Amino acid sequence: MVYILGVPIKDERPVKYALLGFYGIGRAVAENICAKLSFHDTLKVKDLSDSQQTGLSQLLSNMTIEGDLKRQRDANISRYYNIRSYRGLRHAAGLPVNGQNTRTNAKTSKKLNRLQRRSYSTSSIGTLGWNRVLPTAVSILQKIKHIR
Amino acid sequence: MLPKLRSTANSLNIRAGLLGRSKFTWKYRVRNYTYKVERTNSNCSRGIHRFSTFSPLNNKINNPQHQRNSGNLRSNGKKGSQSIESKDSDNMNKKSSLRGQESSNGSIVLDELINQDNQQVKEKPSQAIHKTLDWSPKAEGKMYEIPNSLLGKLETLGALEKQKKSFSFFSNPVLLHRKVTTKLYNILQRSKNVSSASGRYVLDGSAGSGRSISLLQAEIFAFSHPNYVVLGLHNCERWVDSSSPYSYDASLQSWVQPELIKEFLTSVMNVNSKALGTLTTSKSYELVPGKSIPAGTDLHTLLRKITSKSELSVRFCQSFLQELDAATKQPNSSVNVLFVIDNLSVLSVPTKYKNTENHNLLPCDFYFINILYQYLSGSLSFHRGTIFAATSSQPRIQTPSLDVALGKAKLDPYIPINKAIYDSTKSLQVIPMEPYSVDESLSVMEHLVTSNVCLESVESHRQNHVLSGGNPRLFFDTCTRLT
Repeated sequence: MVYILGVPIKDERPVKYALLGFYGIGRAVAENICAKLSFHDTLKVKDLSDSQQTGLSQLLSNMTIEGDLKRQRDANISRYYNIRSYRGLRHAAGLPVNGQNTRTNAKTSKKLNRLQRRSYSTSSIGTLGWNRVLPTAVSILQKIKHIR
Repeated sequence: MLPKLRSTANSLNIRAGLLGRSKFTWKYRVRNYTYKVERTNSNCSRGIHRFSTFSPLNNKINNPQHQRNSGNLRSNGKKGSQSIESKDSDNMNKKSSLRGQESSNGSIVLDELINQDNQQVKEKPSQAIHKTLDWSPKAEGKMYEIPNSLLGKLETLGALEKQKKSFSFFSNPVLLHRKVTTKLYNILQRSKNVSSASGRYVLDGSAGSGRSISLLQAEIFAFSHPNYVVLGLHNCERWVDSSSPYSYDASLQSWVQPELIKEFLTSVMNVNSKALGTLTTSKSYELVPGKSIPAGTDLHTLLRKITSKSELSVRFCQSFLQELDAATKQPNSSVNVLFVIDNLSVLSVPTKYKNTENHNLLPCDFYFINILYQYLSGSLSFHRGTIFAATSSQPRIQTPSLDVALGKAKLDPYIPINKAIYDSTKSLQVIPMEPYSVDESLSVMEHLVTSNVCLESVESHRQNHVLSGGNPRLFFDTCTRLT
């Protein structure tokens, strides 16, 4: 297992497909990366030389992927809410943003759309949503402090 | 799903036949008798498919003489799959149900077909396969064996990759001396004082017409003569399918594939060790700072040093070829160079490699492929040598540049062609691959029958010749079908 920017990547996978494990890198971007670094199609992660690994890490660190991309996405959604735009309100309400039907369907939007948009997750916190849990937790702690 | 069949090459024919949609005429023996589809040694318990009308074959199966003979008949052929017991629930008599016989390498199907009408198969004397190679036109139409000493060399060059399937039918690979073979031998025999610039040929024909085999025959001729150095480039797909490392070399201003170049030079070194040992370098080369190869070193040692690292192989590849050319120019030298390039088609279309802008690289962008095209165009040449190239139908790709250059298609303003490839290949002399003549078909059929690979009689060679149109691969498939 090789770790590039903290993301574990299996050794046996070709680099072109191993890069798909990064959030924010799809097939087209992965191909572009391999072309820039002159990686052939069948090059596996375990066959990367040190200089190739360094070049790959440098290139990836200059891209907005993983946490940076998620924060950027959340910041965009927050901005929509802060300016009280229609899109922001829909995100906050957990409803579809792009004009879909709500009379039927809209299950995915109701599950994922938040001010801090969540991904598909089975954790209990994820089900409740941080935007509901956190304010409640804060208010409880404040009350305890006030009582003390 | 039909059970697995002995000959994968004929599986389509057999399946089509079983489904009643065969495009070939049925033999009357097959129509009138029950037959079973063989299975391999898998222990599947599925029943065997039965087909067509039948007459009971009990007598033949339980005949001890038949059982004794069945083993002998297959002694020369490849080991076939073992027959299995039939699960008979139909009209056949249970007592006389067909039982699988474990002949040495035989099958019930073949025994039944061969022993129909109570005819004893007369063992024909094996057709004269020439052990000694004859290069004259008198040997046309005759089969000859590839010497064992050359098999290893051809394997090293990768020349036998495409032929493994058809050669697997025989214990020793055997080739047919055709008219085009005589042409190639004549060219090679005349090239003793001819530069490769005027000896550039391309073998062109339809799929299965025998281009790769003809190149193989040319290499066998060259290996049989001690003064030949053979540079063989088979399996050119590996040079363009993005399966090996590549990088841009600023000093050469082109893209290089170090591993493939090293592999090529290593195969040349291994295959021509004796010939290269007699040739010497004309100048010294500095491999690394402080280490150099003096002038007068034999070319085998030079190759051994430069193939130790792939970077050295790239830097000194062209130097080696120049030294080879210099060796052929020496007044007392009788060295000839044979450069063989199989599958030129795949080298004429954009490769799967990408540049830094994610655009497909063209073949001429690569250092080594550019050198190949320079030799094909005649701008680089060997003082004494011949270049044989061959087009290929695998993989199936459109090659507009090559088609226009070889005169197979007209220049179309709406179909862009690669000018560099067109200019390099337009002056090649085309050797068209002709289909088998009837005599050649007869020779091949005789060999297949005596090797027990073909179930039919030799007299049906005309029918098979017509069915296949004289195409060697189709003819082989037609002869080796089980139905």
